[in-house]
Amino acid sequence: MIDCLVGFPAIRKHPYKIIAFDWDGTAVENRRVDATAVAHVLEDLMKFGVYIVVITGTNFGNIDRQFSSLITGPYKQNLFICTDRGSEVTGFDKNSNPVTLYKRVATEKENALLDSVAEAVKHDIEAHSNANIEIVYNRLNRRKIDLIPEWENPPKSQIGELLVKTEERLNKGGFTGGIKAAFDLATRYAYELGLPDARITSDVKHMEVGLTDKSDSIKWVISELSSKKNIPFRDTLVLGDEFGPIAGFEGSDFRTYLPDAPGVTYVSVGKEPNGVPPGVIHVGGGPTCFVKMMGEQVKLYKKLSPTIDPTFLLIEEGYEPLREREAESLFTIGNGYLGTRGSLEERTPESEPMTLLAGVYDRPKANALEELSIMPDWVMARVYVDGRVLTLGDERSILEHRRTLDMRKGMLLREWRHRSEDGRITSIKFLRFALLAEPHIMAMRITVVPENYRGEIRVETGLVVSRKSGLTPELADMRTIKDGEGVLLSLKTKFTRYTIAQAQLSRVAPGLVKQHYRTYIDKSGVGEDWRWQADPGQVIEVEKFVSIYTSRDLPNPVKAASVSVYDYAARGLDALLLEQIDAWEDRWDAAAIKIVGDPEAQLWVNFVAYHLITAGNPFDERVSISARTLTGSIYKGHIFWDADMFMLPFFIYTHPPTARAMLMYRYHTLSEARKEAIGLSLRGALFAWESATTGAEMTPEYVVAPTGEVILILTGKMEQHINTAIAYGVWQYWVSTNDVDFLIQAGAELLIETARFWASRVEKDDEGIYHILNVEGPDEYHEIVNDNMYTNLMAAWNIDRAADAVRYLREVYPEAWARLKDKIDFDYLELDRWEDVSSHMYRDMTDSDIIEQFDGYFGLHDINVYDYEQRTTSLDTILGRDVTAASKLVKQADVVMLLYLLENEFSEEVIKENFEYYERRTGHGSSLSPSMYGLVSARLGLSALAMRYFRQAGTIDLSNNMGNAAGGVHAAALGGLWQQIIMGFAGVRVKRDGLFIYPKLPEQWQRLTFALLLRGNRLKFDIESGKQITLVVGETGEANVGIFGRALQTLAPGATYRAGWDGSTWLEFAKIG
Amino acid sequence: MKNRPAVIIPLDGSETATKAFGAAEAMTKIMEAMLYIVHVTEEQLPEEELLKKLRISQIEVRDFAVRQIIGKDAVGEILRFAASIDTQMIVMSSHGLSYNPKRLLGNITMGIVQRAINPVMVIRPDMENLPGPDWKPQKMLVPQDGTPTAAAVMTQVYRLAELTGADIDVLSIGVVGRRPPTEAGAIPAPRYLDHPRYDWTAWAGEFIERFYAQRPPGVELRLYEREGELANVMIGFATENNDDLIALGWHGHLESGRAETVKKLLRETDRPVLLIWSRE
Repeated sequence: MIDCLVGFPAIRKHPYKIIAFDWDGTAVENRRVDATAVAHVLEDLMKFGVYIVVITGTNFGNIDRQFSSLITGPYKQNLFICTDRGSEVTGFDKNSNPVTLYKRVATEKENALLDSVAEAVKHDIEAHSNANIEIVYNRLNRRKIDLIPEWENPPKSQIGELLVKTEERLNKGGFTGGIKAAFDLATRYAYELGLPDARITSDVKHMEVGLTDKSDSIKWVISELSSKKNIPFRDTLVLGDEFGPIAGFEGSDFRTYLPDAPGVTYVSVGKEPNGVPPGVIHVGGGPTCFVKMMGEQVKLYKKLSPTIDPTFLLIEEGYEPLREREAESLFTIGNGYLGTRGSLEERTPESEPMTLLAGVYDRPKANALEELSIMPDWVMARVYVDGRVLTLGDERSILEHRRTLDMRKGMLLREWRHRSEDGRITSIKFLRFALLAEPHIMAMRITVVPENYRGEIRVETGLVVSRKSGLTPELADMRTIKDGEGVLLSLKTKFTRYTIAQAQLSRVAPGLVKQHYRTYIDKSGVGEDWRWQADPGQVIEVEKFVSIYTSRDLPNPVKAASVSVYDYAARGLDALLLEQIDAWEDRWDAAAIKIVGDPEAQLWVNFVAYHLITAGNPFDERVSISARTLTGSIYKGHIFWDADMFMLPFFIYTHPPTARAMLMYRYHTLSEARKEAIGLSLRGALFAWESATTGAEMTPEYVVAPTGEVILILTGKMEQHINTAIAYGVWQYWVSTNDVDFLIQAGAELLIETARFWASRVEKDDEGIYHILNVEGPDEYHEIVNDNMYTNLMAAWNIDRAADAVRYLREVYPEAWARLKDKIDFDYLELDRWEDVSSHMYRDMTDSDIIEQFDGYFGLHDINVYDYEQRTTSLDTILGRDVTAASKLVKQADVVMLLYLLENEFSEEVIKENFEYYERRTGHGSSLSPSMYGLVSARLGLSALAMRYFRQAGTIDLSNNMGNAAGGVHAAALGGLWQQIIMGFAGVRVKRDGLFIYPKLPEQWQRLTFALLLRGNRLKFDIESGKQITLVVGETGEANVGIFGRALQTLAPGATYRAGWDGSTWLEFAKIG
Repeated sequence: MKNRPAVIIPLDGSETATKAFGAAEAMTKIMEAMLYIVHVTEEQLPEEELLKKLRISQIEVRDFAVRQIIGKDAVGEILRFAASIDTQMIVMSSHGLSYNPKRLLGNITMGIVQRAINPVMVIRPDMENLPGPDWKPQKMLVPQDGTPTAAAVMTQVYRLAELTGADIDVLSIGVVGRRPPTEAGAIPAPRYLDHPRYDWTAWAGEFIERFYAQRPPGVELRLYEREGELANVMIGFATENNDDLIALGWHGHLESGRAETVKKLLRETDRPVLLIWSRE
C-alpha cells in the first residue's frame, strides 16, 4: 500500500498551529460514520495547543452530534466549528459548552431575495422542461435548489454517476443546458434581483445560492486566529477533498483556498479526478489519510514537547537568587564541543553566564597556567514592554517562573509570566539547545505574548562580551554579517592566539504583526533588536541561531561562522530541534539505565548520563573532559585522572568514539609527558596531574591562602598514579572494544611509555624488592609517602599490561609492531626488566590481611570517622591539616580502589576485611570517594551501606551539599555513580576474554535494565531482583558472557538468554529465544 | 512620626537597665535617629520624677523623647509603640529590675527579643567595657552558616556598617554533631574538597558573592572559616579579632532546645549582641 504521506513529508516535520479542514469526505467518509477515532487524534492536537477548525456546509448540530460532543476538556477551547458555508462559527468555553462566536444573520430583504433567486431558477428550469425541481429553504443564509430530488444523500463516491444522472434528468426533461446552464441562471438571477455578491456553488445534486461560502470561514480563521494570535500563515494547514473542479464547477473546498494568504499549506485527501489547483498538494487517501496525517502531527508535537517522564526533567519552580549560580551549573546545555550554563537570559546580578569551549585555553598572563577562556554570552535576551525591561527583580512581579532541563531531549526551557506594577501581564518562554550532532550550532526560541494589554514589545538579543570576572578572549571585531542583518563577533585569546568567531542571526516568522528590526553594536557586544506593537494574545516568536567556530577547528572561523549561521536559520529551529531530539534519543538508547522501584535514583542516573553526554566530545581527540566538564570554570578546565578513571568507562560502554577521543587526547599529550619523565631523569612518560592543551603540568606549585600562608601543592609532582589511570583506561577500552587500530596507533605506546616510567621510577632494595618512594596516592591527606600500595600495585599492573600489549602486537600484528618498536626504540630486554619489577614490586608483606596503605600508615593515630558522623564541613577541615596528616584519616578510596580495580588479586575475605577497615577510617573528603565505596560494598553484598553511599554520591550536585556546585558539576562523581551501578550493583567485570556479571541489587530496586556495548555488540541486560537476568545479545556477533564465578559462555548473536536465581546464587545463562 | 528613624531604649527604673543607655545613645547618633526612652508603668509620673526614677541624669543625644506608657503588659506596650514609629533598633540591657545573673535574660528583655521584628541589641550589664554615647563599632562579627536566613541579616548589618564605617568579619564555622543546613539556597562549607585550592576558593567566592550583591561600596568584608562549638568559636573569634559587636540572625525562639548558640552567646560574650529576626 502506497503511503499517502509520501507527497507531503512536511506533515512529519512541520508542526502546524492551525489545522482547518472540510468535514464530510475529508475527515470522515460521511456524516453517519463513527468519528471517535478522528475526535481522539484531534483532541490530542488540541492538548498541544493546536487550533482545530472544521469548515463545513452543514449546521453545527450535525457536526456536534457526530464529532464535537465527543470531546470534553479545557483544550476544547481550541476547537472551532465553521458551519453553514461560512455563516456561523461556534467555539467552546472552558466548560466545553458551545458558544456562538460569529453568525451572519440575513436581513428579511436578503432572505426574500434568496427565495426569489431560487424560485426564479426553479421556475425557469421547470418552464423550459418537465424536470421537477425542489427548493430547500431551511438553510441558514442560503437556498438549495435540488436538481435531482429522487437521489437522497448520494455519497461522494458516487459523484460520477450522480453527474451523469443529473445531466440526463435535466436534458431528458428538456433543459438542455444541464447543470452549467442552471448555474449560469442562478448567477444571472442573483445579480439581476439584487444579490450581486451571492455565492453560487454546486455539488452536482444541488445548486446553492447563498450569502456566504467557505471562503468566509477561512477568512474568519485568518482574522480571528492567524491575526489575533499572530500565527504565521506557514503554520496553517487547510485540508479538503475537493479543491479541484468537479463536473465543470469549482470543488466544494476551492473557496477555502486563499491566494492572498501566502504560505498556508493546502492539502487534498480527495480523489480529485480533474486534478488540484496550483498550490494544493494532492495526497489522496480520503479520511483514512486525514487521520494518519493528524496522527503524524500528534507524534511530531509529542516529539517537540518536553519529556513527560519526570525522571528526565530537572525543574526549578519559582526563582531563588541565592541558588542561581548553582542552578546555572546543573541546567547547563552542551555537546562536548561547548557548554553553556543555564543562566537567565536577561542576566541578573546574581548570575554568571558562561559558555566554555573544550580546548580553548588561554593564560591570564604570560607564563601563567592555562585555563579555559570564557566565550561571549550568546543567550542574552531581554524583553521590554513600552520601553521597560522585564526582570525577576521584584518577586511580586513573578506570577509564574519555571526552568526545566529536559535531559532526554537536550533542551532547556524557561516559562515566565510577568506582571508589571500597572497589571500588565506578559508571558515569555525561552527554549535553547546546543546541537549534539553538529556541535557548532546553538539555537534559541523566544516567545512573547502580551496577555492583557496592547503595547510595544521589544526583544533585544545578542552576544555579550562584557562580564564581571573571568578570563575572556580579546575582542577583534564586531559587525553585522551582511546587509544590516545578523551580527558577528570575532575574538582572539591573548596568549594562545586562537581566533573565535560567533555569528548570530535571528528570524521572526512572517505573521500579520509587523516588526521593526535593527542590529546594534555597543560596548557590551552585538545584537539584534525586534520591536512591534502587539495586541492582547498575539504571539511573537523570535528564533535565534548562533554558530561558533575557532581556529582550532578550521583556518577561517569567521567565514565559517557567518556562512553557516544562514544555513542553520534556513533549516529552521523546529528542524534543528528534531535533529537534536533524534541525536539525544540515539545516545539514550545506548546509555539509558532504568531502575524500577526508586524514582529518585532514576533521576540521579539520568542526570549522570545527561551531563556526561554533554561533556564528551567524539569529534575532537585533542580534548578530554575537565573535572567540572564545561559547566563551570573553577577547575580551569583542567583534565585530571577523573577523566580516565571515573568518566571513561561510561563512554567505553555507551559511546566508544568519545572514549577513544579522550584516550587520543592523552596520546597527543605524550610528548609533554615524556619531557616530564626526562626532567625527572626517568624513562617513559609521566602524565600531568592537571593537563590542558599540550599536556604540560598545569598544577600550581603553591597557593597563597587568604591568611598569607604559602601552601605548597604537591599533587602535580607526587600523584604519579595518574599514569596508571591512563593505562587502565587504555586497557579497558581495548578489551571492551577490540579497537586494534587504536591499540596500534596509540594504545600500546601509552601502555609502554607509562610502564617504562614505572620500571625506571622504582628503587630496588637489598633483598631485590622494588619500592616506589616519595609519592602521593589517591589519599591526599598523606602527601609524601613510600610504597603507597595503590601506586605500587597499579604500577605493576600497568607494566604487566604493557608487556601483554607488546606480546600481542608482536604475535598478531608483527608489521605494525615492528614500526612501533622502531619508533619508540623498544628493546626486548625491557620485557625482562618489566617482569622483574612487576613480580618483585613491594606488596605489603605484613602478616595481616589488611593492606597497609603506605609504609608507616599503621603507626599513625587511629580514628573512627563514625565518631564524627554528623558534621557541617569536611573532617580534615575540622581536625586541621597537621592532625589529619598524623592520623589514619583517609581522604578517599585508596586501598579500596584497589579492591575494585584489581579485584582478582584478592580473596573475597581479604576484600571484605580491608573494606571494613578502611571504611571506618575514610572521611570522604573528595567527591570521588562515595561511589567507589558504594561500588565495593555493592559487590560485597552490603546492600544498605552501598545504598547509603549511592545516595551520598547521587546528591553531590543535586542537593548542593558540596557547597560549590555553583562552580560546575562534579563529573568524576557522576562517572563514579555510573560505575557503582554497572560494576557494583550489576556486578559487571569486563576481562580480555569476555564479560562477567553478578548482580546484587539493593532491596528497593525491583528491576535494573541497561545496555552495554562490548566489541561493537550491544548487550541488553534486564535484571529482576532475586529472580532472573535476561540478556539480549546484539546481532553483530557472538558474545562471551558469563556469571562471575562461573565459566564464560559463548552466546549467539540476536538470541535471548536467561540466568535464574536459585535462592543463593546466579545460574548459568540458558537460551530462551 | 513614622518617617523619622527611631531607636528605643526601654527602661524600668533599674540600675542594670541603664547600662544599655550609652549603646542606645551611640546607635541614635550613628543612625541620626530620634531616641525614645520608653517606660511602661501603671501609674503616671510627672516628667521630672520619671527621669529620676529611670536614673537618667544626662542625655547626650540631641533628639530624644521620654515616653511614659500606662499599662501592665510592658512587653506588649513597648512593641506596640515600636510598631507605631520607624524603629530601627531596640537597645536594652539583658536584665532590669529582676536582675538575676543566673537567668539568661530578664522578663521584659526575654519578651522583647522573642517577639520583636526589629533588630534588638542586647547589652549585658556586667560587660567590662560598656558602650558609651560615642561608641562606634569598628568591626562587626557576623557568623554565617550558609543559610539564606543567616544571610538575611546582612541588610541590617550593611546599613550599620555603612553608617559607622565598620568592617565586617563573616565567620563560617564547621561543627561536629550537626548536619549541614538543609534550607533551600544554603551554601554550607564544602563537605568534599577534591582539590582544596580550587574548591575552597570557589566556595569562598560563592559565599562572599551572596553578600556582595548588597554590599555598599566602601564596606570591607572578610570571610573566615573556623571549627568548633559555635558560641565558643564566636566568642573566641570576636576576642581575637577585636570585633565590637556580634550580629546574628535568628527566628525568635528561646524555648528549651532552641537557639542554644544565641543563649550561650548572650550568657557568655562580653560584646553587644545584635539579634536580627527573620521569618522561619
